[in-house]
Amino acid sequence: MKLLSQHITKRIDRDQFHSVSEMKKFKSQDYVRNTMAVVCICMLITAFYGLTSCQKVISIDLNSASPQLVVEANVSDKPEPYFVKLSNTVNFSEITEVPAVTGATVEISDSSGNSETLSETGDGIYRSSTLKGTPGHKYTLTVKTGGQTYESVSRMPFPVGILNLKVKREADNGPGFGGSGDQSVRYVVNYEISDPVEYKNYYRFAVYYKNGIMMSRRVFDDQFHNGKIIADDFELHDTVNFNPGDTVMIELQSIDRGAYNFFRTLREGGGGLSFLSASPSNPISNISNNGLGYFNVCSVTNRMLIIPEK
Amino acid sequence: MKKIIACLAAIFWGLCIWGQGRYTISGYVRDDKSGEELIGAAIGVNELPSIGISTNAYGYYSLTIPKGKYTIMVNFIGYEMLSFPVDLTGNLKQNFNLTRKVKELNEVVVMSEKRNDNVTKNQMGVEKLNIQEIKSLPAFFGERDVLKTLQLLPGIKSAGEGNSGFNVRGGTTDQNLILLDGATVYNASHLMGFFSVFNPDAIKDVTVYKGSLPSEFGGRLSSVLDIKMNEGNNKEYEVEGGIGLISSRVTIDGPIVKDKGSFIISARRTYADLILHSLVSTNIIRDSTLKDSRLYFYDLNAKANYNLSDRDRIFLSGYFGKDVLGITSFGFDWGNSTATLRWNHLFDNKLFSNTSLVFNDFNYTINNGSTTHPINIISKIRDYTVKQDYQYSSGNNNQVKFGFISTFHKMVPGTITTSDTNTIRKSLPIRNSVENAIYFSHDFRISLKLTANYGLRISEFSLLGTAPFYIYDSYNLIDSVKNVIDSTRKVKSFVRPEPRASLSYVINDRNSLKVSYARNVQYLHLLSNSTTGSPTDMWIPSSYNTVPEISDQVAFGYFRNFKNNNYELSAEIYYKNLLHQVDYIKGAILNFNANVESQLIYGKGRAYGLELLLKKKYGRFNGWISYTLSRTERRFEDINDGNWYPAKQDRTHDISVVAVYDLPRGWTLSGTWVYNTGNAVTFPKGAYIIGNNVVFLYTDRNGDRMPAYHRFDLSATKQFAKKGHYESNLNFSIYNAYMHDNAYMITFRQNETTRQIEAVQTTLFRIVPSVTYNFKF
Repeated sequence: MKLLSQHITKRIDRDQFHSVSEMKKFKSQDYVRNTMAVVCICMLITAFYGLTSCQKVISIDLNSASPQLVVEANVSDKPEPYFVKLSNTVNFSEITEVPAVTGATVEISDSSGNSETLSETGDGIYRSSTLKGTPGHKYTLTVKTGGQTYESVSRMPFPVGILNLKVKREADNGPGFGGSGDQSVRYVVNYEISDPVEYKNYYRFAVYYKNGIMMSRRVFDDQFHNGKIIADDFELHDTVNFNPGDTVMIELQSIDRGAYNFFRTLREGGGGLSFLSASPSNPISNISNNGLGYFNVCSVTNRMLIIPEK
Repeated sequence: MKKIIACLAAIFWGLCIWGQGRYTISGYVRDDKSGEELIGAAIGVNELPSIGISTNAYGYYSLTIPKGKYTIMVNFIGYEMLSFPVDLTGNLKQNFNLTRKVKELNEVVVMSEKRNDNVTKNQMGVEKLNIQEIKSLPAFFGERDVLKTLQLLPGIKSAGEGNSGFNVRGGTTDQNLILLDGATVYNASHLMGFFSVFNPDAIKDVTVYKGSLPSEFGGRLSSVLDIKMNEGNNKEYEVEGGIGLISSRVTIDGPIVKDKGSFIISARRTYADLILHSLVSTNIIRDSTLKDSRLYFYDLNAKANYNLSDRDRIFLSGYFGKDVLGITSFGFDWGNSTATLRWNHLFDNKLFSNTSLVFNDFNYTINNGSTTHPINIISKIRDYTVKQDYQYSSGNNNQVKFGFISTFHKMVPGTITTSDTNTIRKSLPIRNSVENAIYFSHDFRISLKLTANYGLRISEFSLLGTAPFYIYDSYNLIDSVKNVIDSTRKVKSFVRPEPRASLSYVINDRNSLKVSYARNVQYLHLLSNSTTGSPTDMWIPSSYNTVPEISDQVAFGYFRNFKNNNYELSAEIYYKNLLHQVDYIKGAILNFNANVESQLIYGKGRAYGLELLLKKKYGRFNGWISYTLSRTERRFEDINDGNWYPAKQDRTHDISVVAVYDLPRGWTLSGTWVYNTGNAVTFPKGAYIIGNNVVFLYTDRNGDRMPAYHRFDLSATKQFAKKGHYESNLNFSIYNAYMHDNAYMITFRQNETTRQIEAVQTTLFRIVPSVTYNFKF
């Protein structure tokens, strides 16, 4: 039973789409919702009868689904190569070897007539060399593989400036709910951005650590803040331990609606605990022909920050 | 409105004309020992076999028949039948006192004519529970439970293991109206649903309407569970109670003024936490985190009544219950309270009036258990209700009911209070609304064999200020209403008529056919992010986005009694069409979301099924077998490509077998066995990688099934010989006696060493034995 509650707490911790304050609430609510019933009753039973074995691994015959294409494609306004990664879905038994999709034709074209066929670099990764992203242009991704064509169209939003950004160190045994106490520090990113009034804006924060590993991310929109200053926070957390003095790069991506819906509905590593959600489902993809994954065309603003000592 | 009044007036006038030259006999039917009114006692006239009525919810009856000499027969289950000769030459006020049957070991049951009520009465889709019936069945942790027993009846299904929520004919758990003495109970669960809030010692009568609701009820789509509290003995004092492994209860009742008024107070508390603490402190359990755990519930029922005069009687009743859960850094308390003030008045022997003022409150508080940095999240729903019912009885089986109800709902979905200024305080907007309804229904006999009932309820719902209100188109904000500042101003109103009708045809005294139609409307909607239901589920009013839910149900039934009415068989089929049902967008976030309506989508539903019940009511061996074959489906544009798909609560088969056997020397054995198809769930069908993370692949919503659920419970009760006034019994119960591992939930995870995905089943209860000592003096 303890295992279960840890499992759930871990799952919630990994949910990276909530600000710290929301996170606390989320934690508390789900904690209530799901663990308390189980925990308290198992406490009871353990206490009285010691007869319980709450959990066991069972075998379920799940109808295996036929493989579907998974696309991870990124284009930004930075002058650098853009990458598209192609893979397939697998049955649970094959999860350790997810197959890369090789030999596909991957093309990205823009609304001003530029077009490039990306070159394959191996492992299902395709790389651009001449393409340069420009805000306001419309981009079309075309993937041809296995006799099927997959497409996605996205307009690059204009970049949005960051007014204020800082990393704060906090003691983690503060007034949170169900704090385990085993993690003594955490880092919280406070941000302030000025939302332009003209457009519907969708944002994503991406955080890169040493070696360019992407860790935390958070998506939000201006639905209730159009034209205002949006000030909120999110927690930097991952399995990687930060050290004071380390440099992290924080990237504010101005993304379009399709990518936003994908990232909003993506619960990394999550979906498994289906009882946590009333509606377990795939993240909403913006790839046609039942393709999974995303085509993220974004303009970015970067800041380098140093993890503080105190 | 004017038309309705005119309509009602016309009916009255008609009834009055019809009433000329006839006389009325009226009064109360009571238990002769305690003076408690008996609800639903059958009144018949020996010389006029076509006449049969029953006492209303307050034990009152009124019968109008031509002048003459008659023998009135009064009958109620568990009581001796009473025959009373009258010479009717004028209106007559006559109360009847029935004597409870003494349970003898070699009881010869005297057959009475009215044992075929189930066949002859013009009602279907109604289940009544006798509290004595509940008391002889196996109990989970020794706590007898009204809601758990209901789930053994056809068409009423448990919402899950250890869950007091229930699904009626494919409805969701929030589509049941649960009334305790007329007060709405929004959350009927204790200990996250493992027990219900209804203490059987304080309960007099339980009726569930799962088909055509009487017009006086409304506001929910699926069912009404009408629970009436005991009134107490108005002749002498009594104490009743029970001592169990994890809880004890005690009830005291007696006269306020003998034969004039009585009171009852009933209390219950669990003490698992005390036992747990002692086990921890004596090192039997080595888990120091449990030392500070708080885990208990208590509840209190109280009721008093007083006869002001022959024509006036007042009742005051209340319920207060609270659950306290907590571990070191986390606390969660919730509870219901209700209060009902009621005035019964007889204008004359034909017109009965009932006026009620009702208050009910449900609230929960989540806290972080910190004294230095306390944070509390408080949520509540509060209703203030005025209800006026009239019941007019006239002529030969003619009855008209009419009245109105008005309720003010105040919903506080979540307020955070904290002393810590660094924490962002975000409170969800408070929503106020008003729900009104007027109704009438007319019950009458068309011919000797054909009885009809028709009625109309017109309900109105208004959402009140204050702004802003947002208008969404599945997730996207498209408009807002910001100019409403006044919290008493109506911003959005709905008016919905709810017609209802039923017809019953008695083929002979052992066979009947019945048909019914009802439209029900629901203005409040429950959002639940979990599959099991929890006190933190959120109620929202109808608004700019969420319009009232509507259900249309037709049902057809065949009722038959066998072997001198010893066996009852009923078969009902139903079809329900549901409009404006609520579901959630993909990846919805419902918890503490101020814009929760942006997470909702709307669609249709349908439910149909066959319910069979074979019951043996009398004799040393009694019980029932119930079987439901059903399908419940939903259709939403954005789910499963807009195709019909099974609702979560869809269960193909549902079987309950209940048996009670009275053995010699005061022993009673009972057993229940339940079997049902598992709920429809969505399991992942595969996986893929995004970034470095595994993402599960889902195909169809609710395309999978939980394993079938089955369980056998057993109970033995030893009734000790009565010593003076002192009666007692000892009950042993075993829950899940053959230790079947039922799946409470199935989750998927990646094994950390093999990296393989595995399915993990959680089982809550392997076997739960318990023992309880009950007493009464």
